[in-house]
Amino acid sequence: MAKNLDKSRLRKFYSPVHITNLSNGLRVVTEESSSPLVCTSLFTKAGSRFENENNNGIAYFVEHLAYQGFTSMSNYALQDAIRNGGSKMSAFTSRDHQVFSAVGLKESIKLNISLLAQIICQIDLSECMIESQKQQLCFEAIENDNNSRLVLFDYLHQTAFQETPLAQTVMGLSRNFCRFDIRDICSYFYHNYRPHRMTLATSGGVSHGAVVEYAENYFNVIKESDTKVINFGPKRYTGSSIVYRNDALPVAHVAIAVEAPGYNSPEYLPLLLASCLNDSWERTQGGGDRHGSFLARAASTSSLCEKFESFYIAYHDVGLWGVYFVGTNDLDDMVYNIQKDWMNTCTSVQKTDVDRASQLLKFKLAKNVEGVVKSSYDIGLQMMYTSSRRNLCQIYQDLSSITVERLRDVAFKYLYDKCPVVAAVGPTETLPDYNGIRSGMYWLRL
Amino acid sequence: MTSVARAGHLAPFFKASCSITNNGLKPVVAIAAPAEKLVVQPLPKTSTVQSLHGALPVQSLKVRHGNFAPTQVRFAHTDIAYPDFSAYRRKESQDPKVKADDSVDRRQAFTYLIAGAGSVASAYAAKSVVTQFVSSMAAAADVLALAKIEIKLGDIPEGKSVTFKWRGKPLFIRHRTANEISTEKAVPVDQLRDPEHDDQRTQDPKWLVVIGVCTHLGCVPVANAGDFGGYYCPCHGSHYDASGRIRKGPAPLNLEVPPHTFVDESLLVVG
Repeated sequence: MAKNLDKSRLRKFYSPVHITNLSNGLRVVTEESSSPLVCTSLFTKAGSRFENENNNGIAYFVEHLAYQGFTSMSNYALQDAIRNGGSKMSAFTSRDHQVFSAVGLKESIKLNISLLAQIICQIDLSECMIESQKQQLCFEAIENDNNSRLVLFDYLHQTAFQETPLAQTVMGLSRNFCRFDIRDICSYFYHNYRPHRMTLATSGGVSHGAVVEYAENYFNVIKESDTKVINFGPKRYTGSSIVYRNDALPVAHVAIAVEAPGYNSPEYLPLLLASCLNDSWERTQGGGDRHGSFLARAASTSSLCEKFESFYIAYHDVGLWGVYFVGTNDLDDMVYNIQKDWMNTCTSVQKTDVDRASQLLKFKLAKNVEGVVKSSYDIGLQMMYTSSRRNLCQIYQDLSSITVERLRDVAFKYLYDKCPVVAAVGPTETLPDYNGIRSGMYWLRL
Repeated sequence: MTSVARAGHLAPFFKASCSITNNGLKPVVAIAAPAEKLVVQPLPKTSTVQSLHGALPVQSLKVRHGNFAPTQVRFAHTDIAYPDFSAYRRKESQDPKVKADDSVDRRQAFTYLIAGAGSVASAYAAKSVVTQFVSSMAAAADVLALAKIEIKLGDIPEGKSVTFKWRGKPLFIRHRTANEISTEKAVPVDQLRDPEHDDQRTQDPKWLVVIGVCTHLGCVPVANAGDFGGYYCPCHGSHYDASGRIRKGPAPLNLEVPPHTFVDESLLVVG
């Protein structure tokens, strides 16, 4: 009885989203709630995956130009408008999607949508603006090089998807971004910022009708494109390793992953659940042998590492599932324990563990849609990858239907006797060689 | 597929530096040209440690010293091209459009076939090596040749005990008389020090085959002597009967019966 009540409450709270396709093909999705805030995010299927070696980095470059002024509005006027409206703008570029996001009071929704539209239609491409952003990117390149985690995940993609567009970094090559000019950018805009690649996701205290009206007003200048096919390019995975040994760094960053299905695969949720079995841990948590996760227990009782976290990077049609950890001189023991845990998941995972992981995943998923900003991001991501939105209640239902056997089978399919990718940066002397790690991906036992 | 890129040799160029440079293949200044017409020189084919090293910026760029000028140049990590391993790839995984999953069966079938055949071959080789070493501990051929002797029984008259040499020890073959046979068979077993019935000690009651070593301290007994008409050890006075059993004296056990077979009526093989 109480359970049913909870579910009906959840359903009420997470109302279904409204979806409208504008005449030019742009999709407008709104989740109406009683919040005083509104977050509008413009999702575009753009990013390093859709680039080639001559324009790699251009999406990231455009992201930098986004809030620097428009042809109709100088930088100062733009900053004033944003400040006076009480809004906050942000932008983010990944390998296969780009988000321009504006959050503000519900009264400023019209302004925010108009600003997002102007990024696409009237961006300021004056030479001085472009040159100043090139300078900015050079500084960022230095900064990024000192971020070992970012370097590590770039390496992980480079080696896992070598010779495919997914190997390219979001930042791009410096020879490219030092050379971009107005023509490159215009050509890129023309090919990528097309209505069929875009989704406007809104969450907050605003009616769907109003959003559609504003979007129709401001976005109708973008013309429908002739071809609606989106070419994701090759996505071949190669089990391999890249190790950048640098003993001058204080700690080693290591990531081990396997090829996983993409976001819209039916196996996405079981694998997400499997990654919650390992969970994450860092030294500051302590906890000793009282952790639920085997790996956290091993790491904290034997001080194998400084921290570790499980990750599942899911793109449209392919992903990477694994564990990232930071350690000093017990890398081999840590790798052994990770693989032991993985093999355990493949062969003999217990119901108690799955229940624990399931609770944790529910918690994480709920946190993912908490508030208008995260909610609008979640809507946009789901719409972009799967063309539909499943709310929390539906995802919980899917989750509760995953049995122990299903989890074990999926883990077996993607983990057991598969070639992993290994990337490492730092003092990696104690990291086992690739063949050693590969042979940890199966158990010879009866 | 295993492809390992060890970038350790690049480390000195990466650390403690202060400036990102472009990789020297294109000038830093922006050139206004349409994207389609851009011709970018490809990086040198970076497959080996040597050619990777050749792609570093150190050759063409000079290090400048000054109060405010950077003293090192380097690539951003995004600028270092991943080596091209296509020369090492199997044919099935050459095409980047083919998912790894689709070709995995063929690739693994090959690997497992080689591994399986290799392990069978090495198991066979290991077996012969082990056999060779273990058999070196077995008896030598000349020893084995002396391990058996054939005895013509026709040469031994009834009532006589003849001594042969077998495996370095004296061997007594005794052609027993009917009288002896009946006497030995009648001895009550429970009165013996080492209780064995005569039937247990002989295959053919006419022939007694024993090793002529006294079980006391290893002397050679004398035939047809002693209180029981069998063997007598002169060293400490052990008396054996015509079945080679200890009857009197210090010896604890009966004379040992070696393995023997009667090939036919007149031929005995011992060993």
